[in-house]
Amino acid sequence: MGLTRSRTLYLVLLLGLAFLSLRPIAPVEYLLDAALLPSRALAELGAPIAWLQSREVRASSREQVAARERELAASAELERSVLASVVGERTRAGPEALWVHGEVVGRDREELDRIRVRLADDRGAEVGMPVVSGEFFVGLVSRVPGRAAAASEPAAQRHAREIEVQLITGADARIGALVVGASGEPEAELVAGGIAPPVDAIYLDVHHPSRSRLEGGAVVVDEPAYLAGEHTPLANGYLLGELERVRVARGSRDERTLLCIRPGLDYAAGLYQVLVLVPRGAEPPADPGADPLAGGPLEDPEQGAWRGARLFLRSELSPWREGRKLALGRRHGVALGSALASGARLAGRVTRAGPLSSDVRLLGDPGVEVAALAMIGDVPHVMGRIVGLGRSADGSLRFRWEAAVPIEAVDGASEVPATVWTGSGEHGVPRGLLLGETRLPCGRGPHTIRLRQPAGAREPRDLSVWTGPAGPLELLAPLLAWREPGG
Amino acid sequence: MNARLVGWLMLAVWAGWIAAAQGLLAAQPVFARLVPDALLCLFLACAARFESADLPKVALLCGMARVAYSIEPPAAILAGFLAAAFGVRAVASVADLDGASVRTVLAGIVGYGLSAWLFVVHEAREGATGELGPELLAQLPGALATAALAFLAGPALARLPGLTPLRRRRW
Repeated sequence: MGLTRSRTLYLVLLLGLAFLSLRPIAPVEYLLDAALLPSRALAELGAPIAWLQSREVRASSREQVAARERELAASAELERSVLASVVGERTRAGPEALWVHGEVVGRDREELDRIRVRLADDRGAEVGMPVVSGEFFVGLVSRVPGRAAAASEPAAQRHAREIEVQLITGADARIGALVVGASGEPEAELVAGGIAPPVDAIYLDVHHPSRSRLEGGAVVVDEPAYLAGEHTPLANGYLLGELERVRVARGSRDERTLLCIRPGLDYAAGLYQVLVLVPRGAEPPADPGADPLAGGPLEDPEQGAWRGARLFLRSELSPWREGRKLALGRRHGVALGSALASGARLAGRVTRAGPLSSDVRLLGDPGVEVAALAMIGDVPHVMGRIVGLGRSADGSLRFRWEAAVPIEAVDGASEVPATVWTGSGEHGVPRGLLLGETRLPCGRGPHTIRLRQPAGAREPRDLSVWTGPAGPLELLAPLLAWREPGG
Repeated sequence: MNARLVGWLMLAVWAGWIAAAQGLLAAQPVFARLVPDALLCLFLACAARFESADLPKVALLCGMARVAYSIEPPAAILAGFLAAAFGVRAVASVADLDGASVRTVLAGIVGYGLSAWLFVVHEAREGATGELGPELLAQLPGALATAALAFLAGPALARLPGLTPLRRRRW
């Protein structure tokens, strides 16, 4: 076959599409989405076939309605437990500080060691104030934007409740610390901060230990007042983690050990609820230390809202995939990562938001990711991000769980029963949506867990999708947000 | 209205319905791994009966019908159908696509290739989520079902109502 001009163009188009399949480029995919807009009309053509299917679907049984009500009640109960658990014993007993409750709502796009936290009440929050979660130190407030404009302009007010926190994992984050031995006596001083050189997990780096022969112990913040910022000593006594000597293999013959801190928090994906420590005597929060739910949950209707959703027919031939087309797109406020829910259950997440329709990965689709929180009895355990591995033959969902913060075995049990819910900190996924029930393995991960979904969850009905603001700029979001991979 | 334009519109309607109908079958756990790719069979049937110059348009139209219902990346689906069109055109230059054995074998090979391609794209985009070998083997029953459908219903698919203006005239 000779190469005519049309054949050459055909081959260029084919190779271009093949390249785009393997190495997606957001602006080009956006233009392709626009070119394929007529395909939405083809999806609507399937409506008569959907009617055939709807005959097979029976109305919700009473049991399912009751189950849904129980799940909603359990979600509200989870909310209370989670918010209560973030206030550790030390915080309650601490005489120097009050606290302001905050929820992690996302990360800085440029620097992953900065998190965005929405405060229940930002009065009193200042740059340099410590941020903790339970008994553990998280970082310092690095930015409190827009407070002056907050009172006059509603849009600015919305952002004024969001502060930025520099995590202790940041490259230039440093804080003084003590190593406390089993006897409870301080054994050494050191400076902690940043991520340790590559080992098999995330460890905090140790700098300038006052003793070289250290093997272990709890590491607690101990920032001397003469060195610290004005508010940093409020964090003294909070935990950073456990000191460990970690092997760092550098080839088969060159092996050395490194003194690191195994953090007690999953800084990569497991920061959900935090407290900002505010010195007593500073401008106080509205009702510091009171029930954080007293002023209502931290939901802000202006950040997003649920919207009724309709799915097109399933037409995925690959049996290992579970995905559906959603009849709403960026035009309607749907964004990448938005949650699709059925009552209090998470049904899936938007994996591609087109102008007028979107792709949704249901929970049985391999590769679906979600920040998860386990309720073990009435005690919440932050799981961090779990990644879908597909559906098992018995219908349960398989997920990979890194267990950066493992569950301690109690009474020799290797597993504990738990209910798994969504956590916080992921754009478009509100906390407190049910994923399923499981038995979580104790000890360090990674683990593969199997989630049993509630009855009827495989073919979800009465769906809603989490939507943000919709407008012309949202339609252009992929073009505006794109940057070079790795940039 | 131009008869050929009506023919293309009818092909779009049939492609949309076939894509939707095969989704109904795929949703049944009993058929999960044995659902034939009827849309691909429609494409091959059209390739055998339409003018060869129309082949890329048929590929794009069938690709768009798949894109309408599938969450696979649109670029991957279109690339798959365009590559299939390229291969089919090459085969058509040496064999009669209407022959039962040719269309059956071709449907099996192209069906397997398309599903394997989509799996590879998924793995490349997501990072490996499963074992490549067993998963690629698991695509075989679907490819065999596609071959069987092409053998049984290939000629009928090209004779769907409304497609006459697009069919090649035979003397």
